[in-house]
Amino acid sequence: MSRRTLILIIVLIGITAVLLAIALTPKQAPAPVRQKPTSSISYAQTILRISNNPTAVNSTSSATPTYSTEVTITTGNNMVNAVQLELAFDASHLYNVDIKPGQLFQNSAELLKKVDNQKGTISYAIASPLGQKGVSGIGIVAVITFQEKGNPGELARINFLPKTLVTALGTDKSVLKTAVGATFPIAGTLPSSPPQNTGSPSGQPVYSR
Amino acid sequence: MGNLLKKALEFISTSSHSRTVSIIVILVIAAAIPLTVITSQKQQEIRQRAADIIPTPPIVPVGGNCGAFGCDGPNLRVDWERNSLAYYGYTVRLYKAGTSTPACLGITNPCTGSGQTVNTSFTFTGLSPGSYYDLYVFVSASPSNIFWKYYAKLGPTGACTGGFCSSPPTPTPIPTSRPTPTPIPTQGAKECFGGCYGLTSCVGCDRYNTNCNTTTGACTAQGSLNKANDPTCGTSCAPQTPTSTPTPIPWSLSAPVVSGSNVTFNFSPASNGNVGIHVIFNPDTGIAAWDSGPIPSGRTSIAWNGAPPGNYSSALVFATTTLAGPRNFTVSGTNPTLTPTPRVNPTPTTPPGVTATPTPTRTVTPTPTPTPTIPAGNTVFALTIGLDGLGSTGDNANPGNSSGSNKNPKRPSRNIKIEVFVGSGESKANKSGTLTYQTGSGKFTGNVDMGTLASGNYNVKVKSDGYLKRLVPGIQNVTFPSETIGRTYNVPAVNLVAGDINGDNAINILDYNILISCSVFSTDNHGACNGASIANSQYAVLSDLDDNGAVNQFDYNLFIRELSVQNGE
Repeated sequence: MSRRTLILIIVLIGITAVLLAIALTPKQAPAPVRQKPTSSISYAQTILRISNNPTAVNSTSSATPTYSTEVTITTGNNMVNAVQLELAFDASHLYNVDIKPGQLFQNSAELLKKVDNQKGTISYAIASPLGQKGVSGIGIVAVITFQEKGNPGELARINFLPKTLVTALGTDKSVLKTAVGATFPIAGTLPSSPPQNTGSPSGQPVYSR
Repeated sequence: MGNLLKKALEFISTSSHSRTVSIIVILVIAAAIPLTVITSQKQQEIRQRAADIIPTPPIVPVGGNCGAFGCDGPNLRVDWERNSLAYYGYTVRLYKAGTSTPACLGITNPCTGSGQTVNTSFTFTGLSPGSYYDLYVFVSASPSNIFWKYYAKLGPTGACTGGFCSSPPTPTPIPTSRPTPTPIPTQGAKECFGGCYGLTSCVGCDRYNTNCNTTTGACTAQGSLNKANDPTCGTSCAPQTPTSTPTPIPWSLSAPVVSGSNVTFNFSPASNGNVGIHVIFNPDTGIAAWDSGPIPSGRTSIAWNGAPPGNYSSALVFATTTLAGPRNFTVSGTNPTLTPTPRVNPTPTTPPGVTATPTPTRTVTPTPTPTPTIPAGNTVFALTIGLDGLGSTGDNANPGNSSGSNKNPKRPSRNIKIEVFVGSGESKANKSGTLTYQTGSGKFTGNVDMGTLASGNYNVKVKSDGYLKRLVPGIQNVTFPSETIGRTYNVPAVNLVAGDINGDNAINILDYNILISCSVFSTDNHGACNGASIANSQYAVLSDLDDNGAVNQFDYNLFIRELSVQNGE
């Protein structure tokens, strides 16, 4: 056997050994694909807000007008899949209060709906349809409708209660960061200066986590 | 071209060149082997990753208490109720069984029904009596995924044999006429929704739907829709022949014979396999104290062993119909018989999950964790707890209807925490123990050592993992008339509301989110279920509200029904 052949055979065996070693070496487990819960540092990024500017939905000259106001959500990076609104409203100024789903979730599932016009409380929970992932962005969670009573210019309030919750994919905690309630003058009269609903000293309609 | 080949052959045939070529060929072959291995491994890896990334389609095998039932002849009706797919929008299609041939000819509604309306009905007509059909339900949001699938057996026109099953209702032929009362066949029985299947009674009726009118044989309904005497079904059901109706039988129930904690019920004539003894508390608390279930044919008596002390009322029943009774009785002798060693003896060697057969000298039912011995002189609370969705306990929406509850929970032992307060709110005791499922009564029972709790009037709260805390109704007058019979206080039975998965003593969307994440409907790859929280190791277990070993639509529906009770007491 020539020397050149011997060298080639040795090279061949070496290459084969290297390739086989690469093929058979156990690889490190791939990083889990599981969607991790969002970081505990800032997993709660969602803000709920009730509009301060109710609009008349059916205003006739004879009937008492019905107003509606929207509960909006800003999710940040959260993939929100359910919202539970726990609200308190001025039963002395608002009556025939009702709540309906907004457009946040298409074909939303209404899990809970309790409106107590005597106590002035609303418990309302909606979720994304079964089998659908959550949503992120800005949208309308629910629409609150009501009628007003009292003297024009008196302030009515709709506040969030601390039991309000927002859930998102991948975490077992509420991702609600801030909830901002609404204060507005009744009977459709506009205040001389719009009431502030964030950072007001009274802070009544605002709470954060 | 020919020249080129000729030159190549000459080149190879040259001795020095042929050696080189041979080596190159061997080199290529040798390199190909490990390269092939590497390539195939990478492909497999890619497939594996793809399988992990793509969420499992929400295909739920079968079943569900959506409240569907059909009737007979050429027509088949499908009802959807609240708390089912009505929330999500759905599509219904009917096919000849085992085929992809639509069987919707002549349907009065569109062949493919869909919508979100609560309590919607679809009627399929022009079908073949006696044939089998597959009813598919698709979630509108995922139209390619079968959500539920039912098998429908249509009986001959005019006979009440319709209904839906989660599995084909044969291999054994279903009788086309009503037989004389016989034991209910087990095949398909518990899985069927409505319909009578040629039997003398409706079997497997879900919590919302049908019972069988024992006089007429008509399918009647109970529950949230209150569809009693449903016109579509009722008129299709054949009237009963006199020999097949149990009502003419002059049932009688003798006064129960109480011996210590054992109660014997004697009745006549002999059981036809469909009657049973139902015991409630006296006065009625709305909670069944004990239920015998169907008494085997031929028997004229049945015993309730280990009955807790108390006043009871018993009746001989057929389904929800009282045949004889009520008969009131009192049990007074079930306190543990004091022996020279007045201790409750655990039996740690007994396998977990075995329910004890109560005997006059009561022993604690074996549990996975041995129950600590209770020192003599300590106060013992004897508890009877109903857990919603399990055993003989209904749910928040229908507390008294347990027809849809799981009678064979996978976890027969449950922890229980007991808080004792005085009127001012001052805590007097805070203890925990273990309860064990009793198959006879469908309740969880057990004794808990309350330490040296003094006699007095107390408020008592109980809680178990996965359930809301509940205040036992009334003020508990914990007194012991005679120390010689022990210091065991029988806490009035209460039911606990299911759904507090995260243990915050509230039922809300946090629990909902965990349940969905742990379920077959998960869209976060079970992220919230198996997330980083330390306290969530039990999420998957506690999400299985009906404790049947799977987190699926049954748990979802039960959760929705429980959700209106938001906070524990």
